[in-house]
Amino acid sequence: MKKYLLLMLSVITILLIAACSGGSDEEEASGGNGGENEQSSEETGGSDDGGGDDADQEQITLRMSWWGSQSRHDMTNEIIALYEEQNPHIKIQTEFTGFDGYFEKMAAQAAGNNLPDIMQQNFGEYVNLYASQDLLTDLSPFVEDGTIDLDGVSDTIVDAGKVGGTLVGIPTGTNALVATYDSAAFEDAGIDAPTHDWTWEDYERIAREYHEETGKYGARLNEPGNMFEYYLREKGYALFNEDGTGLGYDDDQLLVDYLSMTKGLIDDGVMPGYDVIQLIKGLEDELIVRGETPLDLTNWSNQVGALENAAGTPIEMVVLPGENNDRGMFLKPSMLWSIGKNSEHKEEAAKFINFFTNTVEVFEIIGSDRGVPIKPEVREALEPNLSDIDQKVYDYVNYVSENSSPADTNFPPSASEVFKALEDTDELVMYGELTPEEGAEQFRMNAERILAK
Amino acid sequence: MITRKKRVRNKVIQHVSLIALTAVMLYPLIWMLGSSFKESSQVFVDAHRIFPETWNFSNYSDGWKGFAGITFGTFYKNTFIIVTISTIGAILSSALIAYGFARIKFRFKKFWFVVMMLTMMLPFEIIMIPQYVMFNWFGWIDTYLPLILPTFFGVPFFIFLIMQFIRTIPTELDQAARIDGCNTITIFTRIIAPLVVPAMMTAAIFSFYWRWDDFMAPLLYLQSPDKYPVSLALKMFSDPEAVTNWGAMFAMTTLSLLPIMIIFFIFQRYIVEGISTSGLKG
Amino acid sequence: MGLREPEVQNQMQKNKNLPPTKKFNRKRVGREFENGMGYMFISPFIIGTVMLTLFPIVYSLYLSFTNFNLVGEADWIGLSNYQEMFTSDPMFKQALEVTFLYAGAGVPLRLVFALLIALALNKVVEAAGLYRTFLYLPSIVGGSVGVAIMWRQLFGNDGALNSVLASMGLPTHSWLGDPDTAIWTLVVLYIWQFGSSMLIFLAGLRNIPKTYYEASSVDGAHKIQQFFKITLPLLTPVILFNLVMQTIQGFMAFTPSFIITAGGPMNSTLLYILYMYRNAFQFFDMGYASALAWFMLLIIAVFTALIFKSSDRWVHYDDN
Repeated sequence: MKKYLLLMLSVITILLIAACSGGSDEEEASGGNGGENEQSSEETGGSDDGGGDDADQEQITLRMSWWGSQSRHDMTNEIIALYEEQNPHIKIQTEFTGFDGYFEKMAAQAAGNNLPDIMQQNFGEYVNLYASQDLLTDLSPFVEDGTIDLDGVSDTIVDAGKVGGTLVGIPTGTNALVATYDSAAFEDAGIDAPTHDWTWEDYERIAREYHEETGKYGARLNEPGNMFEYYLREKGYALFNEDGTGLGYDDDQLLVDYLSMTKGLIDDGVMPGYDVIQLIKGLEDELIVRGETPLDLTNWSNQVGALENAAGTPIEMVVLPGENNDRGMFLKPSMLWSIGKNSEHKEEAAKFINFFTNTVEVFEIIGSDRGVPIKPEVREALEPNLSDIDQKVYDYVNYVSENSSPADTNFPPSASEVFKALEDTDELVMYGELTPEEGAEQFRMNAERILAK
Repeated sequence: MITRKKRVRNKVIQHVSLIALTAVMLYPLIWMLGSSFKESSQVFVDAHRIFPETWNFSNYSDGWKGFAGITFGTFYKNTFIIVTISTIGAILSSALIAYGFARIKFRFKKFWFVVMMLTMMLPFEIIMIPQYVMFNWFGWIDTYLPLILPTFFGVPFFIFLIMQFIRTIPTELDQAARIDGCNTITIFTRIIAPLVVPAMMTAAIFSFYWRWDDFMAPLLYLQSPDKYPVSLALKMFSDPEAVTNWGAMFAMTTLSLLPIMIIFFIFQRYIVEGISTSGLKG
Repeated sequence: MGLREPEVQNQMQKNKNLPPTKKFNRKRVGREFENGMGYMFISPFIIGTVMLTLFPIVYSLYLSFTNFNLVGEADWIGLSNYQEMFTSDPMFKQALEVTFLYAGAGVPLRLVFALLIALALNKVVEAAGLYRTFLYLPSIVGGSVGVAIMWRQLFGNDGALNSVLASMGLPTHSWLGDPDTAIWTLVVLYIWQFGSSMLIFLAGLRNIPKTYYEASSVDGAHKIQQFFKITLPLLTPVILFNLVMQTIQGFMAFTPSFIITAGGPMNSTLLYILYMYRNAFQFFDMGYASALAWFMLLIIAVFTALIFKSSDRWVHYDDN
């Protein structure tokens, strides 16, 4: 009865043979896609000579996608309704989903040459992947001819939307890394809360003192992705080298020091280990919310509102520690608006992005849901009516924008695999399977293997 | 007297242990039910408590409102359309194919059977991109066709399931029917099909639930939110990077289990009633 | 097969006594190839395969020989992906080990559990529908976020399990935080969702004609004898089905570790398909992911083939 095995194998072989001659499938695929593309332009009633002057008269349908939660969907739709009211010839077809699966869907759409006209992109390796395959429209002509008005937006923010010198996304708003702390908890313990000019030594000291005073954790465990990248920037290095082909630092001692610091705090019970962190079920379940620690360096500025809400006690914000924290800190675009290369209505899509970026009413509806607005005029116009927590976030982001350096955008497409390797290393060291020295060495080895692929 | 006492005692033991087992099995679900009445920010703070201190029914109305004016009413309607049609398609076609595989001798049967088994061994995540490209050629994007039509060509899991049940039916039955003038087709419709009703009902329950729960395919193939099914809508409450309306999410998740429970409760009877007919064959 | 054998033998003896023409006739209808009829019945499957499933499957095989990065061009790189799997990727081995442990423990335990519960439920008369429904319920919460949260709640450091242990004076443990135990919490979850196998067993049990039992109790057979002589043999086709399908599903499981542990701690719950998924959609290496998937297909195919091969010895069909 080897028959079954044999049969299985023969079927696989047949498929294999079919696959080897399958090189042409791909061409067929792209040929077919072209056809689909024409079809979709018919459906949307687009003109063949594209946008331009006569765009005002004819009906144009734009497809727009984003991810988010209930409130963002509601608010974004309100904004779209406002835009459609002001521009009766535009109809915006929305394709919103949750975050789960958003990028899987986008990958499939890219393969089918069916990307939406306007899409919400994620900063970092995601937007870099799509840009590197030439799937996103260069937006700089629209900025130059004033279709998208970016006057007054600081260069560090605009540059964050560039990949390899091409502007492929307009930030929807900005966020920054933040050290959040529970001021009441520090007061109760009689310990001075951190300030913007704190150093790494201050950080360790504060955490230890609080732990000794109260027996609770002095700080939340730092997860290495964002934190080590910041640590490197603060010391004057970067995680990746300029062309994204290797690590941006040569001395493994940097990672050894970073790992040793965290490991020391865990061993002394000042910080929880991964066994505790792994059980956190969501932002609303964070240790700082539950009052188990007063200090948490792992959040982004847009999350502070939710933290404070859940904690029910004021959460204050300072920049991350380090003598050169103005070099380490950066403003990150919370998300980017991009236009698909396959879009038939790039100009109209650009006009909508302009509307979203420059209209005060838009932000009156959506607040800082997609980060702090990038236009100074918009921020000023909103300032008088901000809630206390939004005011805190605005002030913080303002402070960071004056005390920071541009974000690194040179993430190679394999960046997330490198970050995963870093997390793995961090876990192994924190669980005591590796010494910091071994960890640093292992990470370099893995990272170089991944980047060489 | 003794045996009767013993029987009663056995019954009690039986039920007590079943109830205990059920309770353990259901604990997590009861926790979710409880959480659906908690305030969103309190879901985790209060996690150790099964039921909330104050009952908060607004999660249900908040959740039902849905997204951007599209309520869960629409999502339920869409789900029912997809689920009903594709379940009918899956069961009918799978039963036919299963009969072909189980009872008829034909050339290369084993080959086709192996092909069928192999199609179950690749994860959807791997074939979804070429499949998207293909359905895109067909012009099926943003329609229900990619979700419904494939089920009309048989679902391997159900084909194999029904096959196994057909193969427990003695062939003497077929032969007797043939002598009575039945042919291959009428043997299926008159003899086999009625006897595998329990298997078909089992398959229907699975099909209903799988289609109900399917997330990735609707996500890929549907674009307009007013065509989304419930499974997709449930994932739209959460954003790992920002605020999640946990309360509403739990409320809608709990609610979404109800139809499956009801369908299950109704259909499982047909599995049981299958005995009366299959009792014939002994 | 106990009771059945004499019956079948009787039948065969009768056959021998039948006039030759009639016997020939029976043989003809029973054994002859009916190609047209056969292909007619399975035609939906063939059409569906050729039209809808073949292209994506073959294409994914082609991709496994390329460096396809999810959105760009795919360049043929021969066997490099497969070579990388076996020579330079430590995670591949880790994921394989985890998956074998998970499927190896989870599949038999789930099947045994499902069969035992099905047997118990088969005896219950009162409120049987309710029990069935409630015990099936865990299977329908599937991969929802709710399950992830509940599981962390259950096995967390301050979770329900530890509370129970503590109240009994037993030591507590960080179940999800310890790399040695985390995978077992996922195995427990796999067993917990035994409902679908149970349902199939139930349908199989219901399909066994009551008359067999009646006849055997007249003969004075014990319950245990009945189980081994009637129930188990007649259930084997269904057991085969569950075994094959659970093996396939066990190897291909990934949602639990995706939503509950994200593969951690220290990759101790990195199920193979989760690793594949990461390569495809997080590391943008769809070519490599396709190679991983095809290697897994090979493993599952071998296991399935072995099960089918052995089934000739232990599965009892009524149709030959």
